[in-house]
Amino acid sequence: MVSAVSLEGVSKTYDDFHAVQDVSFEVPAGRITGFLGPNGAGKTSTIRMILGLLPVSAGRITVLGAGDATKVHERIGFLPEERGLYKRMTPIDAIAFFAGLKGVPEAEGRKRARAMLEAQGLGFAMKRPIKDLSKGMAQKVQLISALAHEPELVVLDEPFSGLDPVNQQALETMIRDIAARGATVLFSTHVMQHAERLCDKVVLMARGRKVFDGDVATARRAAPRALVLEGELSAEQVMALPGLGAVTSEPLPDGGWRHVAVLPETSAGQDALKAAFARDLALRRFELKEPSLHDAFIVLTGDRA
Amino acid sequence: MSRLLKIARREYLAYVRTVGFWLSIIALPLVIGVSATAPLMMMKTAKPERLAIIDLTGQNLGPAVAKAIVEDQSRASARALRAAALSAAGPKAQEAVGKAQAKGGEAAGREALAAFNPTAAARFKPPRAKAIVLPASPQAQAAATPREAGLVARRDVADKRLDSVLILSGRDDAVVMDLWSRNLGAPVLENDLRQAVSGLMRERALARAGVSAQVLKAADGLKPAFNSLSPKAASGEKVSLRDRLPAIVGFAAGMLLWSMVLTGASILLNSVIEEKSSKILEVLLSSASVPEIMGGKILGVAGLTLTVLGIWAMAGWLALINFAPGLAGDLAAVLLGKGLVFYFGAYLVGGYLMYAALFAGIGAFCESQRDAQTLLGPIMMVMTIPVVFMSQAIRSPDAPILSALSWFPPFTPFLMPARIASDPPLVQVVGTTVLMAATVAAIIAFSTRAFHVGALATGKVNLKTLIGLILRKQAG
Repeated sequence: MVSAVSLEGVSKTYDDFHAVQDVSFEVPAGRITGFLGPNGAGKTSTIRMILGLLPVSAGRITVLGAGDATKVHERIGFLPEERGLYKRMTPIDAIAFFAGLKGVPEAEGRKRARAMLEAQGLGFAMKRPIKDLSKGMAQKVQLISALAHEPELVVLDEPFSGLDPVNQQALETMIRDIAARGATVLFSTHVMQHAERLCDKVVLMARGRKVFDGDVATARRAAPRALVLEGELSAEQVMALPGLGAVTSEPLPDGGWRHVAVLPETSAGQDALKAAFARDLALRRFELKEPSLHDAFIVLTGDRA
Repeated sequence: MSRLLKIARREYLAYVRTVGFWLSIIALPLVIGVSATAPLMMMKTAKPERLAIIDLTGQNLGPAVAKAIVEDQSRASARALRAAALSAAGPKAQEAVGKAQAKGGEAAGREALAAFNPTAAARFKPPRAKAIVLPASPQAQAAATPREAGLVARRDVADKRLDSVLILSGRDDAVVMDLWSRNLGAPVLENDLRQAVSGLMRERALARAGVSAQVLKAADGLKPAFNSLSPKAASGEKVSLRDRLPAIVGFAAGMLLWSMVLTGASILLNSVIEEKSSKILEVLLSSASVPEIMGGKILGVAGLTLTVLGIWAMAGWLALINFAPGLAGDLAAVLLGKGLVFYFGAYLVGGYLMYAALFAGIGAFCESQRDAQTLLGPIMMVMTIPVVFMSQAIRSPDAPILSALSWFPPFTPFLMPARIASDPPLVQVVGTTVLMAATVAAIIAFSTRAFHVGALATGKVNLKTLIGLILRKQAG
């Protein structure tokens, strides 16, 4: 598969602090790749190095075939982590300005801005100052600013932060649309649900190092399945059931306990269910829980998070 | 259009479209106009002081003082007419008006001005009299002692019947002046009355010593014929207003450059802070190089500065042509004839680039005005020094300390224009310009690096850490 971005042994050091250490991964062209990690994992530094905003301390980065992203920045769209626009500008002026910096002629930039704002339901606000728009609207305007020059690679740094659920959903749709027209999307987040729904591939970072690089299904397998048992039964009774690993317990607000038991790969959980019935345990709920990306994230980042 | 020009255009339009920008254009001329015309307006609108004189000297001093006041007002009116002639039609008109006044009084003076500039002659209004002398009240006239007169004067002033009452007592060399006035702070007439009485005492003392009135008048009229000459004068000898104009223009240009540089650099600083705090800088950096971003911003704000300068220059020129055409001609001759406009232009460009690049570089480290104040404090202190020395340059443009300070590049753009009257040697002009250009290049290089580091830096930065961040070799 062709890569839009390729990192080989990349490191970034600030004096004695190693922000990124020996990181290598590929971002496949035309796909959505999630760049995951807890705060301080080195995601923003890596993104800045990919964009050519920061020099690498070691290693090599190739972006859209170029060894220096600044040589191809007209083919890249970027949305930074903390967002802002010129508050006194109108959306149409702002979008045309940023598209202009990426080489789009002004008239064409304004035409595209108008069409994209209309498509996002912001046609009514295209000539209002940005300071008068809601946060969600301004966020959309900024994303359109990053897309109006029709980039081949779109880099989004924490695009969902600060958005309400409705706008998060709208942004997910926009990201899918970007990929649907053939562009490569690389976005960073520490909210696993977005990555789980959107990504073809995820790269997990923790404390400046890559801890996982693969598809979502493989990442999930890094975490064990679990059995959830709820009812009037003690932890000792659960631990005594066959085929279960470690158990964690917590009381339920309406009485009883909730136990979560690790299910080893070799066990399907039926033995434990049969034993529970045989012992006449007071069970209200018995559920097999497949691991989520969040579970995998916890396992993979471990004490590095 | 290149990215640099697009950034410059956005920067220019962002400010030029604001109401604040146009208010700031109006504000400075308004302040200058108000400060220049306020004293004149106050003089014109102020009512003359109603003055009464109680003369207890028995030497007829009171009527003589009243006559001196009227004569003084007449002389002030003649001076104002000559000043109007100079402003409207130049030194020749001033001289002609002076001669006409000496021969035929105020009316002749006006006629002489009308021959040069009828509009100015028609518009001329003599300054309002400072005082009108009214007869003292019968009670005051009946007073026999200064104490009695004082009681009456106190009442008349307190009742607002009069603004001032002058009581003259004593005799010959020991005249006493008691001035009762409504104006507690600074009696308007105090100085005029002192001078009038002092002149009369001197005149009478000399008369008692046998000096005749004719001799005294002749002696008072004695004045040397004074010629101000200089080899640097345009004529080669006699110094004219046009020769003196460069000193005034130089000081004004230095001050103008200083304020324009400070204004432009401050606009740039605010713009960078806004972009840094809202993370727009990061987006810009992903679209354009640091020299393009900085260059575009500096060029855009330079456009703003030139717009302001152009509007002020146009307004000033129109005002001069209308109200002082003679001065306008001399000014044009000085600025264009001697090429000073290019001389000032070169220092404006150098000064602006030096401070604008520095402020932009520092602004990239600041999330707020408060951060900026911490970093800019020392620079602002340095910037106040040339202001102090510029005012000295009018009197002593050749002073060694001014000459030495001109070589210090941060001061060069302001002090060299201010020293223009001394016609600085070519070696100084070229030397300081080269040094300034080298400093501008070094500051641009330093600020470009600072801008890049600062744009991506987070957290508060003081001057020490700022220098450390810039000088630190970035790994890679």
